[in-house]
Amino acid sequence: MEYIKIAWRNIWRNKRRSIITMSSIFFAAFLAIVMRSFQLGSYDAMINTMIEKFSGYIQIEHPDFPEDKSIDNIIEYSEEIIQKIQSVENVKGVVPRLSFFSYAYSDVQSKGVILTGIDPELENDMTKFNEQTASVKLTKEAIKRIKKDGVSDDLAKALDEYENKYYSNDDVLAFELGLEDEEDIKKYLPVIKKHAGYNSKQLSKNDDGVLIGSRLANYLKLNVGDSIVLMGLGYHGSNAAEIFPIRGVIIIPNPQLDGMMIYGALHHVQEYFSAYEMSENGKNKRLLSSYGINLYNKDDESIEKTRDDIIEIIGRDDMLVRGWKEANKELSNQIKSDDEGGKVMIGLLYVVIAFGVFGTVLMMIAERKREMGVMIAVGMKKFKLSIVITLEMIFMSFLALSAGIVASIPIVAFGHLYPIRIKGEAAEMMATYGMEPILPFAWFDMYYLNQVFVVGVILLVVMIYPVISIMRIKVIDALRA
Amino acid sequence: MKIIEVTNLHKIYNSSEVKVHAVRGIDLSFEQGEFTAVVGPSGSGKTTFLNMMGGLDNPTEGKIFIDGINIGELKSSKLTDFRMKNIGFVFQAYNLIPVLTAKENVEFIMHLQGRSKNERNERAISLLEQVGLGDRINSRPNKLSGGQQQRVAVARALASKPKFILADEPTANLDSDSTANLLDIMENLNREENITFIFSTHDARVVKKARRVVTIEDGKVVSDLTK
Repeated sequence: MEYIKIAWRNIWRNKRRSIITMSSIFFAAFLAIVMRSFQLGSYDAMINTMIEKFSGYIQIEHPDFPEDKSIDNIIEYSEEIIQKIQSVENVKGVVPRLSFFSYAYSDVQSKGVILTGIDPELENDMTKFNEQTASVKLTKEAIKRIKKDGVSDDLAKALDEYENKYYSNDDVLAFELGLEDEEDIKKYLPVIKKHAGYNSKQLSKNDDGVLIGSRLANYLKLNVGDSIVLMGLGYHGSNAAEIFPIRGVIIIPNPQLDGMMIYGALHHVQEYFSAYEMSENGKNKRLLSSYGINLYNKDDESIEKTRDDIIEIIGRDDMLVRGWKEANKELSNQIKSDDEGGKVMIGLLYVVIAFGVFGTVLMMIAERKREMGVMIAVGMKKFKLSIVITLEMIFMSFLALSAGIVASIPIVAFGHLYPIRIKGEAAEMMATYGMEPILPFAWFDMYYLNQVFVVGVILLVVMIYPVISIMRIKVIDALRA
Repeated sequence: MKIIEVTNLHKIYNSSEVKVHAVRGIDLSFEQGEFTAVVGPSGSGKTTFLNMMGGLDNPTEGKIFIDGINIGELKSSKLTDFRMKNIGFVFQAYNLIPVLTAKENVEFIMHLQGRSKNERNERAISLLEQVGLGDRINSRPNKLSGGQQQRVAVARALASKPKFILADEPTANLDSDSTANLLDIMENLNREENITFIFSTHDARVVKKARRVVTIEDGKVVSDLTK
């Protein structure tokens, strides 16, 4: 207790120095947490866009599919398999998909696209697909009508800027058009929706129509009610060609996918690609490119365990079960390399701080050498004196670290609950990297604890010098200091 | 009863350019209850002599026995323990722990000795009252005058119930009144509680009070007078 008292009071002997040292630790912890939260939040957003809402955390494909993405390397579609997978603990949902390349033609343009057959009900449950269908399109005519009803100059300018853009979410629409006040939102949003309302329909299970990505719709100059011609290669060399009515437009957060995705009902897309074959019992066996599986717990360990459970329960050698990192190596590596870069930045931040703390310790030892000499002279063991100095550093680090953590909590919480949405050029730049233009923060997790660990390690390293110095003190020299 | 015996004590400082022979073969002994002043001009070697007797510095040659124990043979950690249990120190510059109050400074050494909180508290207050600081027990050193700080240092030195107290020029930084007051306190403690005091000094007032005066010049004892 006596040592704690001495250590605590020593901190406040030179208030200014202690506060400067603690401030450096505070800012390092605060910045490291906020930077890390932002970095991890960005990864979460990327994973959410690319994995959660697209491929699933676990995918089941034909064993040859990763090497040869041919339509001939497809697997059996079976309700029984879906039920088995759904029975595995940690599985949130399963979506069967048949997804292959085709050419799409409108009367003015053509483009290579990915046609994906889905089970709309399962898809809505898992990827909230139904929430992505466009409900507003800012056509030139609609903008004219909105302006006619009377809008502010700023809104008129914003409307022109976002001409031909689709929206499925009121918040995004209000943000991009610069409607920040509640009053403006209440006043203008109904007007915009009245004149620019867009009637996208949802897909039904046996639908013969399709939903197309909003950027693709703009490129092909197609709208709901129009038809789209698709042509491609079907299963085992068959020709695939059909005219599909467009039921709706969907907004896919990933701009690249938004410019090339077309969704149809699974059954109908299987027909289009002739993705079926005769089974041994003489029945038609329908085929898939993959099962996408979403999970409750998405950490690496849970994914691996769930994957193993799925392999065991389906017991099929002709199906390859992989976690998303294995199946989406490009994204996984992109995150990994960015993650390493981020860690290096935070590491550098902490190195600078470590030198700051080390400087304080050096000054502390030099300033108090005589006092230490007296303490040793009257009978204090050097080891116990080291404990006092170590306690001082622990107190300072703990206070500063706690303050840094506490200060970061509201920012991280706010940034997580209300991610910063980017517009304009910055949003375009993010789009070119395939990212949704939002800057979310990751929720509180292990990375908080990691900061405590890192500061602890810094402290340990920094404390080596004073402990050695104290153990080497010669009482008589210290008393003369 | 002999508590300190010093035989053929030498101390040579080897700096890079010169060799300084600070203590040159001192043979002395001190009895329980002595009130001794070690005097001599500056640089005569008296502080070096006291430091070696206090186990703060190592002799180059010679032996120091305290209660029959050759302190030169003790390892650093054992020597620290030995100092804590047997020797009280009063330094010229007081050297109190600045973040502790007067009472806490006195308690500190008892804490190192592992004494109970109650015992520490009672003894610290009693000692501070003895040195006339009963009303300043909660003051930190920077709120005390030089004389008061030195009295706290004396109380601290007494706290561990040492066999003797070494005081290196204890009055050097004090004014006349504080010096007289401190000397009275130490003399009373010596007479009433038989506490052994050994001072290094060149203050005539201290010498006047001392019952034995050892004079050192050029590292040698040139006179040893008992009044």
